[in-house]
Amino acid sequence: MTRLRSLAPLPLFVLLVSCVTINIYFPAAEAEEAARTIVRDVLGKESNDEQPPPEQPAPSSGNVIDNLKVRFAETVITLFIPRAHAQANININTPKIDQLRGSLKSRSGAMRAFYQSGAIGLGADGMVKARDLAKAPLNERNTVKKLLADDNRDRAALYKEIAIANGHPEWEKDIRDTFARVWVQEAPAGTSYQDAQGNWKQK
Amino acid sequence: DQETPQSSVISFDGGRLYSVDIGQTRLNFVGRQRDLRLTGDAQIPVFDGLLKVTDFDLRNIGNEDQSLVLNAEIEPVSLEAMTQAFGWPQMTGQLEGVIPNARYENKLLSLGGALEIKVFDGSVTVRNLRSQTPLDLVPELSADIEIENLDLQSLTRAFSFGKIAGRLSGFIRKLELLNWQPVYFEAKLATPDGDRSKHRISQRAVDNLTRLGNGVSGALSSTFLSVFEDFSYERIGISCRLENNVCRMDGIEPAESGYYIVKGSGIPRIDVKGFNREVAWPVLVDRLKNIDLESGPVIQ
Repeated sequence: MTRLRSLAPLPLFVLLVSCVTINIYFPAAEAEEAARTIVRDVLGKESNDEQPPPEQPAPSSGNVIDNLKVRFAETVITLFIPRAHAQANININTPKIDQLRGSLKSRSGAMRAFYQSGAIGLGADGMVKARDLAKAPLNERNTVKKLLADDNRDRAALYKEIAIANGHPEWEKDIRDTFARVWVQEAPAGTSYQDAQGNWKQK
Repeated sequence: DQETPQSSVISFDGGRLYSVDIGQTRLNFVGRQRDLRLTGDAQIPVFDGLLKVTDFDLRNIGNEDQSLVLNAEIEPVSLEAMTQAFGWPQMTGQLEGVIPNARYENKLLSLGGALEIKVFDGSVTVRNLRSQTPLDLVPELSADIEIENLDLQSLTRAFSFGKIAGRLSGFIRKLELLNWQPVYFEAKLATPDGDRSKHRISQRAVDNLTRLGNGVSGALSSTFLSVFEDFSYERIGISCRLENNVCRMDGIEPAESGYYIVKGSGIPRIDVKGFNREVAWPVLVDRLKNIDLESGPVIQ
């Protein structure tokens, strides 16, 4: 018999609802790949770069890499060449997503200098934040604010749209978290970003 | 005459090597040119147990082709002493094993035989432990681990996960660690077949499982089920094959969509189903770390 916390009489409806299912949606690997495709496109990067997968500990000496190749021939090949593009279970090819992606891409050129100067940076929530507007020239500050507002509007809509387009609105937070991570990973050196505690760091 | 073997003795009163307490030891060696061989058995006290070495044969010291053959036995070392020395969460049990043929050749250290760790009232057996270039900067290990009949209540208590009562068996096979991070394994952990122990899962444990998946907690506390502290379950299980930073996941049996991780029983019945088979491993690890930070001691 399960133990009850209080001695209050059981509400009648408990007896009627006797089976509850809890669904756990594990973070989908496809979400990483979908995010990476879009982020690289927005930033104007080549889509099929030889990049090591994220979070992989980097060997500190070339000697070890040679030994790894000798010892783990097949494993090295799979470790350092990213998986071929998603037999994706996440669909990112809808007109609305294309439009948002295009909008982000066309704005990204104008924003680059402000990232580099530290006036703006990447938040831990997938949004762009004003970090130190004083770093932008006085006559450009209003431009920066508008860029921020427009970009964040597009970002919020993008995360929501990807979740909806895949029939799972509840994925929005997971998609937002994934993008937050990938934006930082793919950002050029010198970009400022916030960690989970809200502290500013620089790539 | 360089060809004549020289005998020598190494003895010390005791000390500490990489946090391992070593007791009074006397080792008899015979050496010749670049070879060093143990004569007679050696008994090295380690914590409250003993490392008995019956063969130690080191050749071509300092050369590219240096090699070592080692036969040894570990007489039980208590886990309390070890976990305390290494700063791990307190565990009770013991470590013992037979290393019938450890070899170091061509920069590859391999241990034949098996190391058995009796812990949580069950056992964890490590076989085929291998380490490539152990002296290099990036340690890299592989092993096969079998897990038998662990008591879940002590296990979940040691890791502050939220009480789960029952037993757990399974394996982590073909484990490869690079710089102490897993880069490949085939693992399964589940209620053993025919297990007759009491099966209970607490609300907190269910909440933590949910947090692993959805990144949000409080799935149960916001429903009427918050009056129940724990629930019965029939079986628990999860399996994962890690490759390329992707964990291919499965549960104990398929559901109409997804797979069962917890199959409940009794009334009220709680089932926990998993979705997404290809899971992003780095994200899962991040969430595992966050669970420990919020509710218990930090596990490194």
